[in-house]
Amino acid sequence: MMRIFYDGDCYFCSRYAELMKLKSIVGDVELKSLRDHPEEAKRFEAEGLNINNGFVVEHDGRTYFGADAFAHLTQLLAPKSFVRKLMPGGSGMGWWSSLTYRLLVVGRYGLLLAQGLPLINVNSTRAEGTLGERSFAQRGARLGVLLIALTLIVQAAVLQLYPVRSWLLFVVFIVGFWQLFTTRWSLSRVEEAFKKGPPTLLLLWLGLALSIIYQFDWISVRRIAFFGCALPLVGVAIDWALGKRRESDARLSIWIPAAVLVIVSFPGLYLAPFYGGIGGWTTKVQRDKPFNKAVIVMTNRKGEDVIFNHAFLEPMSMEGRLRRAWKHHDYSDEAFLRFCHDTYRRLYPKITDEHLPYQSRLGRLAYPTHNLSRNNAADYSSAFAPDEIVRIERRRLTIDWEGKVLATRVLTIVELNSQGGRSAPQPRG
Amino acid sequence: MLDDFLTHYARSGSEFNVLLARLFVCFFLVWKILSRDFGFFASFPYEITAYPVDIYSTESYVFWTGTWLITDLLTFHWIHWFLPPPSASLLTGVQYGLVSLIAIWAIFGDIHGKWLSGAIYAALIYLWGYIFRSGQEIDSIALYFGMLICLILNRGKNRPITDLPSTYRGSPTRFAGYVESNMLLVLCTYYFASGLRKLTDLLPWEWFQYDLALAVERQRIISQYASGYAPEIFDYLLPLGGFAAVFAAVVYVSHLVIPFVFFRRELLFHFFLFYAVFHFLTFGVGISFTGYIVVWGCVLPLHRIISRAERRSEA
Repeated sequence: MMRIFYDGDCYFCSRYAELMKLKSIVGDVELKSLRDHPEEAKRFEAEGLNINNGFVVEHDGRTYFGADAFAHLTQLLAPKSFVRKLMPGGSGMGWWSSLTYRLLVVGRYGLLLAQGLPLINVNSTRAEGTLGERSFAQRGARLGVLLIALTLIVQAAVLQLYPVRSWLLFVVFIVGFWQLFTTRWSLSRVEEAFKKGPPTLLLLWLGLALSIIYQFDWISVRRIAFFGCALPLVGVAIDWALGKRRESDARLSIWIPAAVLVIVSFPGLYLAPFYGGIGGWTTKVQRDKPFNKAVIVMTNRKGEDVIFNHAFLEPMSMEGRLRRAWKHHDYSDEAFLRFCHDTYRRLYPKITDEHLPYQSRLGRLAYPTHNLSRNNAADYSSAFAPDEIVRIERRRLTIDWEGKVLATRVLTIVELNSQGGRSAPQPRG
Repeated sequence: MLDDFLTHYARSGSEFNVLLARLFVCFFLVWKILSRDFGFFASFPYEITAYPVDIYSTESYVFWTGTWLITDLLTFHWIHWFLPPPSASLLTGVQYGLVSLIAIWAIFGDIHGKWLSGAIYAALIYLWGYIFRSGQEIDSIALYFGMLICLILNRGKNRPITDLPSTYRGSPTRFAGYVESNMLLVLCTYYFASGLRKLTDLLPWEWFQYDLALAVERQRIISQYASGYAPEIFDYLLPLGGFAAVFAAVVYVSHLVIPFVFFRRELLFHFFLFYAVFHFLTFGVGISFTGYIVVWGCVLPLHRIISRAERRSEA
């Protein structure tokens, strides 16, 4: 009879125990997860064995621990076994085998971290039918604390913003995480309070979350920290869904709360066509200062100007976005302006006295452009036919709050040839 | 609260409402598609892109998951990893073909399964993929895609328009209830996420720093010199001065409390009125969210409203 005591929540430990297929070699094999048998865990701790640094094998009246247990089991395997090849050296361990086993222990720690699980707690007093420290709520809390700690280190060391405060807070959070990971601190009461307490506890959570995220300067980093704060709530929703799953009429709908919480809290979520909500913004202008506005202007042979309406670029009707795409691929402003003129030339036949091109099918009832556009179709008279355009410019206007243009600066200018020629990339088809 | 969620989610709903929601969605999509020319995207190199992850700086609202790989996969633009991009004529053909499919679906509903609505979704996301890939955001369409998906996933049949009278007189059904709940969830999730973004992106005092009157005034001045525009009616907001900064904060709070509408659906009409005013006010800063006023038609309890009006007129 062989008994193997291991961490049942460690994926690789569980797979290893199955992989060994020892039953065919030693007969009866009993596998016991130490997380489900805290009394055994206590026994081994009392014998001086650190069960978080190795597993235990009892076989033929002897107890093997950690690397020795690993070597003992390996010896029982066939010589050609892959696992045995990892641990050569007969009955001795050898430095290679010892190193391999240590790496496996480190790997287990990493795996537990990634799963939000703590080390094995010999004093675990999990109530019947509950997940205890393995609940997703507690996992979410551990992962959230770790994520916030990592985000603080990014702010301190990488972004180098508020280094003193960030490092101090990092120490607080990493110590907190370690206490949770090593089960010195328990989250069970907090978990129970959130799961069974009044919804107003959410306000308390919100206050705590906001006090954490406002330690960060960058919006993108704040959103990551907020996701860390939201992970415990996601865990609560998952635990609830798992509980409901056991009921006979459980449906996919039980997963909706968890999914919604992830969608609303995941930082920078964009899965076309959905994204995680419109960001916050403030007014960036002040009444005591003039403001700037960039415009594209076409000039005809007579020296008269007309605005290039951004509606000509629909469906890209958010002003400035298409130009940004061009710049992103290192096309010059000149190339973009030539493209604008080519677009104007192409669309000119659709401009009537009353309608811009996007209104050609539905007239005034056409769906407006995202950035509302003036209906200045009448401005594009024959005096501004494409062949009459000799110049297209991008200008920056500085305007005061009385509506007076204080300054005009030409940012980019493209002189078109006498035919209003094109040199932008040709359209396909 | 989570148990309450299941109770409210599983409420029976009206097939009349679901049918009308489909008509709202189809109407909006046809309206928008006919107001755009997707052949435009053939007029410049396909390679000119600004994926969502590229739009904002790293310290700002960066869309971490808006990468080229994920965006191209979800918008079916992965086909252009193997096939050349289409010509303007082909894009225009897809556009008009899509309008036809939407019109057929609006009138006839599901014909032998979900292939028609699936094709609509595929063509729609493909066309809008050009917009997303070129640096523009959701273009006031995320909610409509959400509603469309809810209708596609309707486990009951999306019925033809000729069934309007019978669905009006019919009893509530479980499947219609799921569709109604899903559409409401789409709406609540979108606005609630926006509300949480206000919490993360703005410090508390910054909630009162969006001076709407100032923004309107600026837009009105700009419209004299640029192609941007704000209707003259918003000049009435200018005397409000700094008090208009409160409006934004009120809107942010409304985003945060909108999930209550899922549990207290009698508040839907009140929220609709508020959001109609809110989205109308965005015209004042030169931004059109017309579609997001219309989309509330998908979630309003129209059957109850109409039957109540009918009873009053009979009385």
